[in-house]
Amino acid sequence: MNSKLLVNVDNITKSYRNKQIETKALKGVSLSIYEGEFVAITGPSGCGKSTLLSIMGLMDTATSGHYSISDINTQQLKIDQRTMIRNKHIGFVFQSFNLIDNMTVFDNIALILEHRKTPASEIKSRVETVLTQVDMLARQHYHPNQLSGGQQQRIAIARALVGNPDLILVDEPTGNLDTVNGDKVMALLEQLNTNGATIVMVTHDSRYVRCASRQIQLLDGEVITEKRLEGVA
Amino acid sequence: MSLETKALSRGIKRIFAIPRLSLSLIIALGSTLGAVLCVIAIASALIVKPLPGVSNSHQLQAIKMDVSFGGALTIPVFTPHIVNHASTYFKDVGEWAAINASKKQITLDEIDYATTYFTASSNITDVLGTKLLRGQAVDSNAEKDQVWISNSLWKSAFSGLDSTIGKSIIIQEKTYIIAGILEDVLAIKSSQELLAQQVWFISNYEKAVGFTDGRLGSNALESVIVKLRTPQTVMPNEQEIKEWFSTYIDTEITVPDMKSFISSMPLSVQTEDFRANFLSDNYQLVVALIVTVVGLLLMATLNLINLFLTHYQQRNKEFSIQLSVGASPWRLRWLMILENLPSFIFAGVFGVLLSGWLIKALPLFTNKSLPLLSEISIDTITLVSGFIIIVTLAILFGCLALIDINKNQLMTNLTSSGKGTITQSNHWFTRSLMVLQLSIASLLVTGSVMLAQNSYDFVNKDIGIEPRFNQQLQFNILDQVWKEKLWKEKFNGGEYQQILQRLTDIIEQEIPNSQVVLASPGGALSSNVRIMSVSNSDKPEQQVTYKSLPLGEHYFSTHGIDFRAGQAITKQQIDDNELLAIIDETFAQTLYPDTDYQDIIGKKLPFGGDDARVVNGIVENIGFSSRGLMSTMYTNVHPMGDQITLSISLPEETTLSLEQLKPKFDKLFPRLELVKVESLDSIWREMTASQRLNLMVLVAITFLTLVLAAIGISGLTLMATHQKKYELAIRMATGATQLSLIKFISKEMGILLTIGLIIGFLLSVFGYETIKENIKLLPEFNWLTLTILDIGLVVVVLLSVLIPTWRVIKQDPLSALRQE
Repeated sequence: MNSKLLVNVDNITKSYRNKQIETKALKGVSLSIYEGEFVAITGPSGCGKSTLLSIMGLMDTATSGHYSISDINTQQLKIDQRTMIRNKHIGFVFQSFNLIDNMTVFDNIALILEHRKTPASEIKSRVETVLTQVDMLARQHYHPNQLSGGQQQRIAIARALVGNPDLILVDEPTGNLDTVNGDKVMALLEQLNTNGATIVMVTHDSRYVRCASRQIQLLDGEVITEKRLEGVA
Repeated sequence: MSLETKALSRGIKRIFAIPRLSLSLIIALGSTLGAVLCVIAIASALIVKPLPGVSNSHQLQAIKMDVSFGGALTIPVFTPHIVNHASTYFKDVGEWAAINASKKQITLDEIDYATTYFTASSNITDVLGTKLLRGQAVDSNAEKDQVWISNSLWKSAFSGLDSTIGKSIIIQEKTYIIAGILEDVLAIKSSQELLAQQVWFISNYEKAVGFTDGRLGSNALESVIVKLRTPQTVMPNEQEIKEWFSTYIDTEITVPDMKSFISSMPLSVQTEDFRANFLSDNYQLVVALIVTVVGLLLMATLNLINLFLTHYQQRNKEFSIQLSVGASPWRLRWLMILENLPSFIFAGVFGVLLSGWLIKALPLFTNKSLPLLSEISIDTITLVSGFIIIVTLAILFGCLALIDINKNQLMTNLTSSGKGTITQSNHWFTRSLMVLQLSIASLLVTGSVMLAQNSYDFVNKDIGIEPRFNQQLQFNILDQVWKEKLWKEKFNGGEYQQILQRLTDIIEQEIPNSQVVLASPGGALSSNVRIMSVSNSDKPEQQVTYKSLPLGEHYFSTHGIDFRAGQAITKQQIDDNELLAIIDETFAQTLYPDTDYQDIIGKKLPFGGDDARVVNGIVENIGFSSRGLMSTMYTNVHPMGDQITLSISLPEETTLSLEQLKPKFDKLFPRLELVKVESLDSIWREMTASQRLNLMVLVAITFLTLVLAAIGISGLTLMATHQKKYELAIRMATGATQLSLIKFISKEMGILLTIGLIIGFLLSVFGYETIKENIKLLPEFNWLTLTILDIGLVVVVLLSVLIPTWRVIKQDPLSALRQE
């Protein structure tokens, strides 16, 4: 593989303490993601895959270990610095979409660019581009609660794309969708990866794992297997 | 549209979309802000801004020298002659001046003007730094027939014309020439209200005469002022002033009785900064008001914080989403500040408007006893203060938006459904707010109730006189020359006694079934007193000091003053000018200790020589605390004053009016003018008017504090029950009784309540004493009051917890679960 190393996760642990009880969600996880890869992280419920994804997305902090993205070591970063990296380098797609109901589709997607203080004209053109990509341009003035689950997920994907992030993290994208919509969303993700996006997807649905180029299996907070998948160069 | 513009737009829409939030803010914050701004306006006028007409206030010291008669009864000593002497003696200290103020009415071109008369020394404008606007300067060349008028009187009575200078005006039948126009002077300490329309009478104190008779206080000066020579000059201390006055007594007082009398009485000397002296108790009042309204603003703010935290909690997911896509926390807070800003601006505008109304209503609230009322307005300081308060609170409220979000663990908020333990996260902040609210409420309510109790006691105290159906007629003596003549006469058999008798006869003839019970200068409730000090001939070492008051035939029975022994003096005895006296219990015990009252009747008083009076009766003590419990003697001698006041006993439900009586009496007595007809009850009400208003205001403050505390605590309880709603619904669905649910919610609130009340109790006890050292207005601490208040507060808090809790738990559990 000649692609550039994008993400390096080195011996990450994550523990939660509630009074006397300590729960270890991750126990020394290490992995690397290269540009252009589509990596699926799989495992049973409670194995730590969403925790790992949230650490990679800088939504949570690891208890110990190192995590770097785009050559930036995230360990000692302050909150504002982490926010900036999220804004510039990472796009996150949530299982429950996490769109803001009192904003239109356009405004939801434009948020990232507005927080970067992008000029209004550029915002308009980039949002319309990604909306076209996810085939939702006609619904840009709708509110999320006026859309179906599949449509909301496509909007969430568009939001993750609009900032041209280095890394797209997708957490159970089909978890709240029916099969038809799930297939549509996965097809979209595949297309994005074909166009060069680096995607890390958490899923427990084995049907969609085949869309990825590499699979990492977690169990009880540890990586148990890591394998290349067929049909990917 | 930028995010900032969208935030502002959202804020404007929110005013109408979420009235529960915005109206609460506008009304609660706006109303307390209005009170705060009103107090700031008062403080600005009284404490910060230059005093109108007194530009030298920073160089001035006020000096007061009184002879003390025990209790709170003091008589000022300074006269023009004494001031002039002090001025020479202490010439290195600075320039001495004096000024008296009285409220009078003058008629110019048949129009009446209510004015303030200033009688002052010829150097007064130099000392005060009062500007001369037109005409001749005020100095020692001022003639006796010259007056100066104020700018306001010049504008209202003379249309501001330059031709006013040199004009003649008639004041109390004397002709004066207007020599000049001075700016309005409103910052002189006076027992009467100062009006902007003023007339100045100037005297050259170098020509003043000293004590020529035995009367102390008859031409006493209210306000003596020293303009220090340099900023480093120090006023003479009490010892130095007493030494100087001792010199004055030795060298200048020629009346032997007066000399020994003044030398024997304790002298008190006070010097004070001019502004502090002018404000006196009002400074303390302003400080007390500032503490109170800031406390109320704090409570309102705490209530609103609770409300906003509930609102923010409902938007936690939205904030988390924004953070997850790269919004910096500070940008989000800034956007929330902008979103809140329209509501805060509305609150600010409402507050300013309300403060304007409160300022306009100040004369009513304060019964015009607050100085510089006309100078109190919404000025730059007030507006800037309002702006700072609104902006500070807007920033504070905006910054609280992300308080519930763990920025290091965003996923926690992003994946929360609002059902589990996550939403019942530690709200140490809101719990602290509740404890703080309770503590402030406890302190505020304690202070205001104790002050209210003080006012209530004053208003309802037994003054020893029952107003019943008594009314007073007050006559001014118009002819000054005639007045001087009457003054010099002996009362018994003199023209003054004849005038009083004639007035009595005509009143009793004209007004059916009436009885004149007293004739005196000021009336039964007047603070004008005549103090006498004589040697006890039985015990030469004892100096006897007493109040001498006049009596009438039915004075004691009409006013409900009981006799302890003996009887009243009859009309025949009064007409025959018999040397009899009625004394009060204090006097009886002073002169004849350990003697039965009955044995004192018929005794000759041990002073007065051949004119010594015989005790005819002993009555109960009466009087106000301001006069002290001084011995009192009542005789049929009626001293003269500027006015004649007749107290009349009328049949039940009979009232008189000025319009009804004036034409007749003015015609019958052309040298007198009937100026007032009022009931004793209304006079007492007017005297206690400010205390009654204080009582009303304090009760309102107490009520408002309790309401704010109740609203805040019930808001917090609602938030707590909202957080636990899902848990409550599950408990209900699994069979918990309503009582157990109430206990479940109340348990946590009960702990906070206990902590809050303990802190409030400690603050009330220790904080009150500390505040009282700085605010002398506050009465002594009262444990019973505090205990009753805390019980009341507990009841209010319990209701504030139980009522919202009950509203939640009385729902059907399934519908509560479905809501989730």
